[in-house]
Parts: sequence; C-alpha cells; structure tokens
Amino acid sequence: MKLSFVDALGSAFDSLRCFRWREYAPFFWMLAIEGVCLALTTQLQHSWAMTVIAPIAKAAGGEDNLHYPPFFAYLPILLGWVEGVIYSVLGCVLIPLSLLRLYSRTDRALSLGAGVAGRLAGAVIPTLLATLAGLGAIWGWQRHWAPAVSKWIAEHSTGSTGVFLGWMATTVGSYAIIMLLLYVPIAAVQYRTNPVRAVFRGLRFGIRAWIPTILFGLFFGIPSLLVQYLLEKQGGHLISRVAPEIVVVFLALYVTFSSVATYLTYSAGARFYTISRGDE
Amino acid sequence: MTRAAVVAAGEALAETRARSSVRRILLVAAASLLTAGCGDAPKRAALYHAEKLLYDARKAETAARLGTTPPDSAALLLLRARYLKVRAVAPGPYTVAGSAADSEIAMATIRTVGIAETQAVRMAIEARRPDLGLEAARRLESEVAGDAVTARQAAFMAVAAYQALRRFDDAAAKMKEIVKAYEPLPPGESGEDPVLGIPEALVNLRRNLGDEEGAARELRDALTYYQSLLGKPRPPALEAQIRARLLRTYLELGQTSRGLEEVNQLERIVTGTPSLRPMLAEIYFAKGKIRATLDRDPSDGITILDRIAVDYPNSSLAPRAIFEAAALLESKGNFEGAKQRYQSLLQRFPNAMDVAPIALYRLGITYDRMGNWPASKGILESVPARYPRSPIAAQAPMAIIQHYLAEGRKTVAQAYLVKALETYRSLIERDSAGYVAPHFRVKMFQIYASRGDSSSLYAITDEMLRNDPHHPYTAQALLEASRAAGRFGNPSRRLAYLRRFAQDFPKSPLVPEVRRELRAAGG
Repeated sequence: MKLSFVDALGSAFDSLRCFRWREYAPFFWMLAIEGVCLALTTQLQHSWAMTVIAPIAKAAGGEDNLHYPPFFAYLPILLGWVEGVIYSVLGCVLIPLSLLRLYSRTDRALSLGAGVAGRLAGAVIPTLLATLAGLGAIWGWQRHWAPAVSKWIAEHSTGSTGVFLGWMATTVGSYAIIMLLLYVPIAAVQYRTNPVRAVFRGLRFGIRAWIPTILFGLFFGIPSLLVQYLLEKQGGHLISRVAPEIVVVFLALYVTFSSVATYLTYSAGARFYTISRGDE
Repeated sequence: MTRAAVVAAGEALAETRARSSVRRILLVAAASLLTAGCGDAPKRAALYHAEKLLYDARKAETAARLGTTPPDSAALLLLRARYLKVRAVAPGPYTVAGSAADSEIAMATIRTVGIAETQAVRMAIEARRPDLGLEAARRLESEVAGDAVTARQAAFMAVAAYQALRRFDDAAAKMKEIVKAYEPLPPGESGEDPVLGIPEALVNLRRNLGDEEGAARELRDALTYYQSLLGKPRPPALEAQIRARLLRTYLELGQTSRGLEEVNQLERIVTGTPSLRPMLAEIYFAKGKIRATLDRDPSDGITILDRIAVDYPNSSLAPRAIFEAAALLESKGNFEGAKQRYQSLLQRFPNAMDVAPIALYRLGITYDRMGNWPASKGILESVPARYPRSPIAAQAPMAIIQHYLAEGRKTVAQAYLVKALETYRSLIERDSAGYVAPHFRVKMFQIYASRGDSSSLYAITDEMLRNDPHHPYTAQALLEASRAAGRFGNPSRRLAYLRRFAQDFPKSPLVPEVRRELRAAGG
C-alpha cells in the first residue's frame, strides 16, 4: 500500500485531538521518575539525596562532576543517561502498555483486557532491542559523525545561522535514528505477531514512513527542542548570571515537553501504521 | 461458604500476597540503592554543601562590590559571616586518609574550607578587624596541616593580619617561618610562588618602617636563602625564578661582578627553555644595570635599559628600566635625559606604584637642579595629591622647605611649614590607618619639634601611640618627645614617655639606658 502524507498529517492531528490521560499515564510514570531525580539534584547538600544521585553519576562515569556548581553543567548529560535507562528498562513495558491502551479504543477484546498480558509480554523484547539500538546509534552519531557535520555546516554558513544549522543537523539526525525504530514497538503489540516479525515489520515500515514520521516527530518536539537549544547554547550564561539551579527548571520543562512529545509521536505513529497497513 | 466465595477469598489472599511481595521487593531495592557504594555520601554531601555556600558567599561579595558605594565595615563583616558558614557545614577534623575516593573528598573539603576561611580573614582585615582574621588564620593553619597549599594560604593571611594589626615584628617572624616551612613551588597559572617573594617583602617592610639597617640585614639573609635554594636540583622554570631573584639581590647589594655571573647562568636557562622567554626582560634589565655600573660610560647600559620598555612594554620591569635609566642619567648630571625619561615613565606607566611616585618626586628635583624652580615646586606639590599612599608623599613638602633653606629664605621656609602641616594632616585624614600614615605623622613631629611647639608635639606623639603603637617611628618619637618634655620643663610627661618606651619596645637596645634614666629620675 502506498503511504499518504495526508494520512500522516491526519494521524498527527488525531493524536493531538484525542489525547487521553489513560494512554499517556505510562509515559507520565517515566516522567515522574525523571522528575524525582531532578528534584533530588537540587538537594545534594543532604546525604539522602547524594546517596541516590552519586551512584547514578558514578555509573554514568561522571563522579568528578559531583561538585557545586559544575554539577549543573553536567546535569543535562546525566539526565540523558537517566532518560536512556528509564526509557529502555521501564519503557520496554510501559510504551507497549500505552500503545495497547490506544488500540483498546478500537479493539473490543483489548478493551475487556483479553490477551493484554500476552501481547504486552511479546512486545517487551522487540521494544527493548529497538530502544537500545536507537540509543547506541544516537551515541555513535553524536560522538563520531555529528561534530563533523556541524563543523561542515558552520564552515559553509555565517555567524549564528551556521551555529544554529549545525545544531539543528545534529538534532534532526538523532530524530531520524529514533523515527526509524519508532514502529518496532507498534508492530510488536499487533495481534498475532512474534518478536522477530515485529522487528522486521517495524523496521520496514519505519523506512517507508521515515520522512513523514520525522516531520511529525519534529513537530511535536518543537517545545522541547526550543528548551534544549536554549540550555545548550545559553546554559553557561544561565549558570553564571542567574543561578546554577536554573538548569533544573529548564530540564524539568524539557523532560515534560519531551514526555508529551514522545507519547504523541507514538500515538500518531500507531494511528498512521494502522491506517497504512490495515488492522493486522 | 459458597464455592464462589471461597474462590473470591482465595483470589483476594493471592492479591494481598502479591501486593506484599511487591512491597517487599521495592523496600529491598530501595535499601540496596541507599547502601550500595554510597558510604561516602555524607562526606560528599557535606563537601557539596560547603561548595554551595562558598559560591553563594562569593556571589554576595561580588554583588556588594558592584554597588555604587563600596561595602562598609558592617557589610564586610556580614560577608565574612557568609564565608564562615562554609566551615560550619564541613567542621572537620580535616584528615586525608582512607581510600583514594575518601582522600579525594577530604582534600577537596580542606581546599574549599581553606578558601572560605582565607576569604573570611581578608574580609576581617578589610573591615578593620584584623584581630578576628589573625585568630582564624592561626586556627586554620593548625587544622589543615595535612594540606600544605591551604596551610600556606593560612600562613600568608596571618602575615596580612599581623601587618594590619601593626605587629610588624610578628609579621616578619611569620614570614621567616613560612620561608623555613614551605619549599617554593614551580610557577603555576598564577605565576611565581609567593614564597619566593617573601625575602623582598621583608626588605620592603623594614624600609617602610624606616629601618635601613634592618633592610640591609634582610637583603643579606635573602641572598643566603636564594643561594641555599640552588643547592638542590630544581625544575628549569623554578631555577630560573630563583636565579632571577638572586640576581636582583646581588644588584641591590651592589655585587655587580657576582650579578654578571648569575645573569649569564640565567640567560643559559632562559634561552634553552622556550616557555621562559618572557624572562628575557629580566636578563636585559640586569645586563643594562650591570653595564651602566661597571662601564666608565653608562650610555650602553642605559641604551639596553631603554630598549626594555620598547621590546617588553608589558613586562613589570619596563617602568623600572626607564626609572633606572633616568636615575643613572640624573646621577651623571644629564638632567635633560633624566627629565625626558621620568616624564615618559609617568606618561606610560602612571600606576606603576613601585617607581611612578618616586619618578614624579625625582622629576621635581631634576627641574630644581635645572634651575626651573616654579616647575619644580608645582611638581613637588603635586606628589602628595597624585600619590597620597606613597611614602614619597611625605618627602615632597620637606624638599620644598629644604630648597628655601638652601637659598637662605628662612621666613618663607617657616611659612611653608604651616602648609606642609596642612598637607600631612589632610593625607592622614584620607587614610589614618594606612601604612604610610606613620611617615606623615613623623614628619609632623619633626616640624613641631623644630618649631618648639610643645603642645602640638605632645598631641602628635599621643596620636602616634594610639595609631601606630609598635611602629619604629613611634619608638623614635617617644624618645625625642621625652627629651623635648625635659627641655620644656615637663618631667612627668618625660617619665611617662620613657615608661611607655620601655613597655612597648622591650627588645630595643636602648631599653637599658631608658631604664637607667627612669631609675635616676625616681620613676
């Protein structure tokens, strides 16, 4: 079946229009954990907060940053690791759960709870693999290729435009990687599938629907991208001129926007997948 | 009980068991998280808290200093209290022991507390409460003996506190203690290790106290110290700095031939180490000075000195090189050349406080020697206004008086004494606790003594006793005032001054004589 941009657009707007708390709740639980971590980072002068955060920082290899105020310059990196772990470990259950709740709108059996556990259990491994593969690919992109791309763009543009375009290229590259793997969990929660087939189908659909998926992913991600850009480019000024703790406020905004955007992207992706492939 | 009820009860029990096991798992996980690898969390949290309070205190200080008016003593003491909070959250004992992580945390805590405490000492001194600063510096130095860097900082702050308390002998003793206790370190980001500068600071301290004999003694001690440092192999950068100091000391002592040997050794090290290139200015300065001293015609040496200001304008030696060239020309009677260089120095380096005030004074003297008294007088009168915190400001009015006396214009000289007194009084009012105030007070004392003005003489002596109780000028004033009181027929005041001298300056070699005088007078 040929993919339609209009269907992609419609799916994106439907996901916005038909927002349901019950479907978003699994993402909110992950957001809540991130929120708790962020709240703890403002209380590191107390040993109970340090007891939780120091091992996380150690595990992320950032133990040397547990000093005031350099910790707040490092916090976005630490939060990236925390987010990665949460979305991999908890996300492999909670993302399929959210998708199953979405599909229960149209699936009578699912709405009655029939087969939920089986479909959820079947989706855990493909989702975990997709998330880990995505994180690994993003790490490789940002570490090895993105700097060269940003440098090339900066050299061929002028002033702040070049800086912005370089940053945008890095961000779009990361989105492109994530969007390629977006449909693996969606394919994994479908009826009568198995992990291997889910990964294969999810990837194949991801490649076919790559461009529209990147577009609605970026569309939902605009608020979090704005916060991220501000934090990356003005973080040093904010720390020195306002207060180091201001970073936590921006990161709280970022994780909130990012959580809602991730839910909306999966929701739109699931609708688009269903429309384009038919109910499997 | 129906079958359905039994099934329901069984399901409820299973659900309760499941919930309780989930709760147990969560509790175990939380406990594991709290204990696994987190043994250093309380120390790390205390360090983090200390760093946060230090950051906040620095920020508060910056904000206070950016205000339209500088912070007064009360505000400074409040800022000091903020710095002192750092110690309260990381109270010690500060021992560096245990695992590598423990040692690292302990060392970082010592450094943070050390920085906060030294800032608190600085605040106390600035708020004119050096007594508080001295107490804190002493305590810090004894507590952080495990960390030489912080202990050194504390020792330096103790020196500053002693100086602010005008306990100059204690300050000198502490400086000598630092030199003995701490080896100089190779230059870091902030440049030369301050330990290397202590012998020069001791010389300057003695000079500022008007003790030229003491300054010469300190200069000889400095030479011994720098020579002893070269007894051990040192990294090239540190060796070069020691040799540069040694070279300066040779030149100050007038040992030019030894200086020439030293300059050649220093040049070998500097040319062989690219990072030491900025020290070339030091070498050219020494070479210029040595050549100007050894050669019959100093013009080659003066040319070398002149080149320093052109080739190394950012070197701290650039103004000094111009000054040395000018002074050499002045001593050789080339007043025009000296005048040009003094003017050039004042134009290019008006804030070079080590030489600019003296250059302005010497410019005035040079104009006088060139026969241009109006210009000379104008310049000499401008010295106290332009450099009120320089000891040379005390010399300028006296130079004008001496000019009138040399011309035999005694009446004009007498009239100018009144103006000089006004100048000194206004300079003292600007900074009554400053280290140059004793210079102005002793000049006022000399003027009152020369005029035979007993009441003013007693008043200025009492003022010196109040403000500069342990200053050598005060010792000198007490003895002279006691003699003057004897001449003015005031024996009780004479005895009072002698008693005070014996009490405040017990180490003075004049004390036995003073005691004899007191016994003879029945005091």
